[in-house]
Amino acid sequence: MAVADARARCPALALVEADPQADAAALDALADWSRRFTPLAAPHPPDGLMLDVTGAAHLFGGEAALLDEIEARLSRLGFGARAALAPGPALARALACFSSVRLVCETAGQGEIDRLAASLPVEALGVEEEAVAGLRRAGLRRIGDLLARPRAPLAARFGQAALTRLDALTCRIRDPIRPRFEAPAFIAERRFPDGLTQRADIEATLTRLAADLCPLLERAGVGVRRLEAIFYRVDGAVKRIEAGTSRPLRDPARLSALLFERLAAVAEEGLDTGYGFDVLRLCAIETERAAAPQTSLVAPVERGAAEDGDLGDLIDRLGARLGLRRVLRLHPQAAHLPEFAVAALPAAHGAPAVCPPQAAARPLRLFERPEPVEAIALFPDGPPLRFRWRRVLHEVVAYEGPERLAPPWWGEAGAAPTRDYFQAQDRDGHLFWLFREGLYGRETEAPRWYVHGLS
Amino acid sequence: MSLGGVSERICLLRARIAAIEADGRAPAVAPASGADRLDALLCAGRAGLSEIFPARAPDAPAAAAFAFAMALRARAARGGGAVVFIVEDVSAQEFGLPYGRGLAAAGLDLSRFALIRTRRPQETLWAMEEALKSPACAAVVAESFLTPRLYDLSTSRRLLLAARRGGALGLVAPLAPPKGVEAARFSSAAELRVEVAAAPPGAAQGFASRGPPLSPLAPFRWRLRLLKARAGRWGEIDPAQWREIAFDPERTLFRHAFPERFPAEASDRPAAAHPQRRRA
Repeated sequence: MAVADARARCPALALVEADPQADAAALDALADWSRRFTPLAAPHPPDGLMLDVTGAAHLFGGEAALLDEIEARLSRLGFGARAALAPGPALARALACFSSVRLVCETAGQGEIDRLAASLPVEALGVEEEAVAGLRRAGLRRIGDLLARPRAPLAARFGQAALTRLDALTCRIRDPIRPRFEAPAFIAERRFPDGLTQRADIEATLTRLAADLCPLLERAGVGVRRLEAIFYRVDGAVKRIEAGTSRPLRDPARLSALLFERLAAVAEEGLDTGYGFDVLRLCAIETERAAAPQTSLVAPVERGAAEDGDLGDLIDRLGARLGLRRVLRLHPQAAHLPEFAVAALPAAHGAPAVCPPQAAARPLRLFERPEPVEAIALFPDGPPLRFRWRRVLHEVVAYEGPERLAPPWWGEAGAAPTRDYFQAQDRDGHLFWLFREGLYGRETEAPRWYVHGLS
Repeated sequence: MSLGGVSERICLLRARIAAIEADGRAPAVAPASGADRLDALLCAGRAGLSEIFPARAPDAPAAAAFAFAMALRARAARGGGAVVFIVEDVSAQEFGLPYGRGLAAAGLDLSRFALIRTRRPQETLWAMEEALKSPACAAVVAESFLTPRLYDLSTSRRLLLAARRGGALGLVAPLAPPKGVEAARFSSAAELRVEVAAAPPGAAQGFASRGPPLSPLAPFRWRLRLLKARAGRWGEIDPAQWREIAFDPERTLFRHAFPERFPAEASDRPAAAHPQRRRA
């Protein structure tokens, strides 16, 4: 119906511009919200949500009660919704859209499902508009019309896809549900009749959740590497905080300390408590095998093990507050170009191996990218006499070099020019690590100079 | 006798080979020879808080290097432990990030090292306090653009208490010297405050001599002046005087900057006879 016709029939019509992106975002937010019922929830564009509630319905007092609760909560959030539950996702969707039946038990036989599906219109297949129009032109209005016909001619006329959809609808095959987030392996959860608003309550709950989670981890013999706490607010908003660890952890005190740190960091930007959180969930997203530490009297005490643990604790705590990418460890690499010789990796990747120090003179500090300078040398391939860096002229009074570093010919950087490095000291005693890029006469006519480090 | 730093480095390498030949025994540490009187002062050997100010803004890398040397000294005095470096983003832009190869060459064990990058001075101070509290750390160096408003008596007192609790040495290396009024008003709980400047090359060295006479002590040579030291740690040191001091990464101690080179010391050499080894 055109807008003009609609206006003519109902002058009070409120018109809103369609905003598909905002719709999709709202649907995603709702999918996050619906994870309070089950960890496996997926948005089903344009206007549906698909939840896999296998094994979760009894937590809400049965399947019918679960459907009621979902509808009631959605209507409280301001959404008109119809919920249906069936053995297969396609059937559940079709029932919610086209039927007044809302619950098909898991134990329903194939005959019962076929009878139920037969009464649905062909739109319930969920195929494209043209295909539906084709079906209608052929006089097939109900799913039952399709089920009564032999399959081979149907496949020949409407394609294999239509038959696949038909099988999915009648639960002969099962559509996969692609959840928005992977279901975590270990979950601990607490629900409250009213929202928690006090920070102290939230922290106490997180402590209890950590204590709930750790026995599960211990039984499986794993430790957490990434931990997520999800807060479901009563008005439908979902907040999540994540904390990473540098080694597998399953000590409740340490886990909750990490979460508090993270909570404190988030609170600075405002963990918006609003009307309160009524569901708190703690998930171990990433786990790693961790043997239980030997605590007996005859345990061989590894030297530095306690210190490693302490350093790991410190790194986790700093990483939780500052962000994991800001806590780094320096790993020596097998590369001779100075910028690649050391990799600064987040400490969560583990400790660097012990490597013997090298005798080559290297500066104590290195710029992330070399800074160009204007330098004057006595002769084109000689040491620098003076150079201008950051608008200040430095006169070189002592130097050591050159140390010639060629780019790796085997790599992609093979075409890069050769560098001659000099350690240079200016009149005030400041030390610079300079290099000249390009060999004069062979690679370039005008070599350029850079400052690469200071010490 | 060659004047170049190269020959000095070869001497150091020879000493290292000698150490390996001496059945892997480390060369005996000889604090008596060449150790500066300041060494006892600078080597806290215990938990504490020190401040290292650059004399002028361009001296900040030198001051940070001095802080790093003190961290190494504290680690050696403690007999192990981790070293944590806290670098603000602004500092990384201005002076670059600590470079693993250079640090390792100066004797730092990279497997006992963590580099923390922070955005603001508040974060730096928080991270420093946390690191000092941890029993794993031997020394924590924080480079920061501190203002007296942020880093005042109570903040530094917190840091000092954290350091005492964790048994670590805290080193605050502000990137800019306090100016004028601020300098006069500046007060903190630190036990030691020094002002560090890069040491200019000696008078005998000059470009005219056409040698490459970079000091063999190059990155570890400074001029420094004591601004504050807790009572009882002064000894006979004149506070106002600028002194030249160097750090010896081989022995991990501070010593006089002059003379730059020693004749190889007897204590460094392997015991004269290695009969078992020679026979084998």
